Amino acid sequence: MNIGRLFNFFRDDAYRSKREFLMRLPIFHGLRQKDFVHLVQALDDRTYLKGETLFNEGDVGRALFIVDSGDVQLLRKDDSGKDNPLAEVRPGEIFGEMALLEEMPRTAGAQALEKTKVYLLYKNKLERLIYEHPRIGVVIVHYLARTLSSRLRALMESRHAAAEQVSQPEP
Amino acid sequence: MTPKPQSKFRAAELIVPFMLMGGIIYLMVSASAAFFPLVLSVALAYLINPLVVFFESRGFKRLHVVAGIYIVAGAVAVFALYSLYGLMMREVQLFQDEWPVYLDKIKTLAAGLETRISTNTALPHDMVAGWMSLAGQRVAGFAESVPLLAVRIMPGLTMMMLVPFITFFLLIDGGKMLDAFLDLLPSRHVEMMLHVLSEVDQSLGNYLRGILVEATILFALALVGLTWLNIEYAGVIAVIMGLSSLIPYVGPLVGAVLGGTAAFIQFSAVMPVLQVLGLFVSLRFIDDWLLQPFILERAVKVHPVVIVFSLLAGAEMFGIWGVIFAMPATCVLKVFLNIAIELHRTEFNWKPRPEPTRISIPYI
Repeated sequence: MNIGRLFNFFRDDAYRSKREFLMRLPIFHGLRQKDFVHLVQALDDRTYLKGETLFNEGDVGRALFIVDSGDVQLLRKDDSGKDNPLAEVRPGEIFGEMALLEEMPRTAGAQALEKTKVYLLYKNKLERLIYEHPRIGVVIVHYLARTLSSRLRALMESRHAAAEQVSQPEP
Repeated sequence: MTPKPQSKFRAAELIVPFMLMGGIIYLMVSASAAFFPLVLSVALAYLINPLVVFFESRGFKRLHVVAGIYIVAGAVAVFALYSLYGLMMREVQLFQDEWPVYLDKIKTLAAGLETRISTNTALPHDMVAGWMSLAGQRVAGFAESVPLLAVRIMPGLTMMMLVPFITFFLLIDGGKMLDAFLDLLPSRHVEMMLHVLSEVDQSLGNYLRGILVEATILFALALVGLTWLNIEYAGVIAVIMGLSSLIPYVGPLVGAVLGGTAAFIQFSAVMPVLQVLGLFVSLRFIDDWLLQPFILERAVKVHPVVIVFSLLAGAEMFGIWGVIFAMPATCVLKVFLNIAIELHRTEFNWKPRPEPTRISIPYI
């Protein structure tokens, strides 16, 4: 048995695929390979069955969710209290990231459309990463800031477009 | 397609969980002795798990990591036992040889003390003689009971075999048991439950790992100090002192009493006793001012009055093991209390919800 095969015998393939999956995510772009050792320790994982609720609109958010496999639907209630589909989150996408900044009620609910595996990053774990491994913390917080900024810009642009539409005289 | 929403909560759903919980509590109370090795194993697995995670997060299979740790720990234990056995046997042999001499010294000191008390105080001679006789009987009784201690240690040895065995399987299972427990919960509460568990883990883990490091450093300092002061049985006293340091405030006190007694019997003078006391007072200050602020920086902060209360309550409920587990249990209870208050604030609107951050400067 050569050294490579011996090394493979001890190596955990599940861990390797998890790390490779995380390395592809935009939120972790800029992290070094060795940073993922600490990141993996900070993430919890959980599998939800089809139809299970991850959280409801109004629940206080405490974690960011990363979809590893499966499909999650985000739902928002209308005035009558009925859930309306807002968006679908697919593998490699994240949602609920605002919970990392403020422990405020979720603005939408989330439900698994099929058997779905997610990784959870909790606010307290992110804070620990920021103190103990600032490089990882900076990359994640920078991504959150960019996400916030782009959402705010999109909101401003849509409001601006709506205002222009109202101000234009009808032909 | 939007899946069918989950049904609303019904109180009847709680019947099975409550019956299960009741059954487990009944089993724990009626067969508490059987649960004790399990509790110790869980505690040991919890302490070792970070080491397993350290290697696991570097790409090694959990089973191999646990097996590796057991092989290395076994080799270290055999080596340590072999080394410590020699040291302890030398000290036990020395104690056995010197015991008649110590007994004579104690008798002489007691007689001198008896004469001094009778001469310098107004206490009746008979009363002082009665006290001294009682103290002598106690010491003799202790000396006679020493061989019985070996018999009492036997169940402890069985435990030493059983606990690592259970711990091995707990470590291999990793988070599977926890996952099985989470599977029983309604899915929307899993996020909250994981939050609670991570808070408990963070504070309890920091406390336990911190106090182990603290006890090891205190043991090493005590060993060096006592050896430097040329006190006999330095090894045994340092080991007992290190183990006692797992209980807040007790370590240096136990070290001072044992070390002071050993010094007094060995030298029959006050100066060595004062030196030993000085050593343990210094260790107490080093512990308070240097070790605790750094090592236990991120652990749960518990008020000294609560610490004393929890130690007394632990002793009352479960004896010596209650004292040892009092602080970890207090840490867990404090985290639960904090989370309960947080839940009341966030989920049940017990207090007004804090306003979200608002800024007046527009997005530009």
